[in-house]
Amino acid sequence: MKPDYLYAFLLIGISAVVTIIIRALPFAVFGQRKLPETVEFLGKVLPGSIMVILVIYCLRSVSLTTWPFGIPEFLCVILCAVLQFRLRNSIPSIALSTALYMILTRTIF
Amino acid sequence: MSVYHQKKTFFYAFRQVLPIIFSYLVVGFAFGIMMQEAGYTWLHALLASIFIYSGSLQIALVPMIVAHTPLLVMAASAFLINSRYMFYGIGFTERFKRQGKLYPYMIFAFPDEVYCVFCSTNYPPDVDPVRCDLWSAVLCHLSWIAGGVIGAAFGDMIPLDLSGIDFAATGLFVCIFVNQWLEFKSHLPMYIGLFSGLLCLLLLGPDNFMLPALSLSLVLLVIFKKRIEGKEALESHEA
Repeated sequence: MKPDYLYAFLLIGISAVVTIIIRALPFAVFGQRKLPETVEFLGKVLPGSIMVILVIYCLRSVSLTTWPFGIPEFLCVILCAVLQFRLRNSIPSIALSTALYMILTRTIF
Repeated sequence: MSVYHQKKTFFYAFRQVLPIIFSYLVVGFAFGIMMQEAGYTWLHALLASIFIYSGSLQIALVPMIVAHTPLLVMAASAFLINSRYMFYGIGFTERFKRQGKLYPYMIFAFPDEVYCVFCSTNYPPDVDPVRCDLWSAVLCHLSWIAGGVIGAAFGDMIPLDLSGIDFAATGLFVCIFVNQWLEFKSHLPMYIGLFSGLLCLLLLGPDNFMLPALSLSLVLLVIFKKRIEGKEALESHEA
């Protein structure tokens, strides 16, 4: 085996260990005992905040100052949201907005 | 004793994670191709996809492998890229414990998209909640692994331009956001997320904003706890 391959396995290994520790952390802290009331509250409301932050995270590299100013991204996010409001079914909402995104980025933008 | 319909449970889970399966196959495939182009094997892609199971980190990992990044730098980068996962476990301890022996697996197999789907699962009455969670997690993990391995092994043989299909992940988060918007009585948590996310993005830029944004929204949620709870209690009848 090339020594380079071995080093790649080491980097994969360390990434895996760090990721596993991060994922286990909240369970290690809160998993053993009865949840404090504030944590229980956070468990309920945090997803509401995190979902918005995840959408921002997905769009974080979109440039608003250079062409196409994020127009395809925002159009497709709006389409997806409107479809989901109407249909309450994520599969067509995601499929149609993703298809529109792929078409827009290949044609107009 | 069980009144749950196991076949229905499987298909409910399958349908629930179908958008993730597609997106994982494709994004995993893209990661596999990156590995292959950098000169590594399907075995590297396989191990990375099984044990790291994090799209953002795996895609950042490839150039870092090529650059022979020192182990400690890699560890620090992995921590910064994935620190958001610390927030996901909050609220899932009891739910995942129901898996018994597979509790550690559920903790591990918990990337953004799975977290997102688990935040808005409404099990129908004859669907087994414990098995449904497990099937959902396993199906996502398998499709992620399959995408990576296929990409690394055969990526150069499949001339398909799928760029832009990763928008499916954005679409998924948008859908779950809409579900929560309709479900939550108080929309303050969403505004808090929007405020923290945009503020930190503007101040810190796209590479470093996640951990501060999540921390800030956590603090704001605690500060506005009374208000959010008051609104939930005022308008909620089922609780």
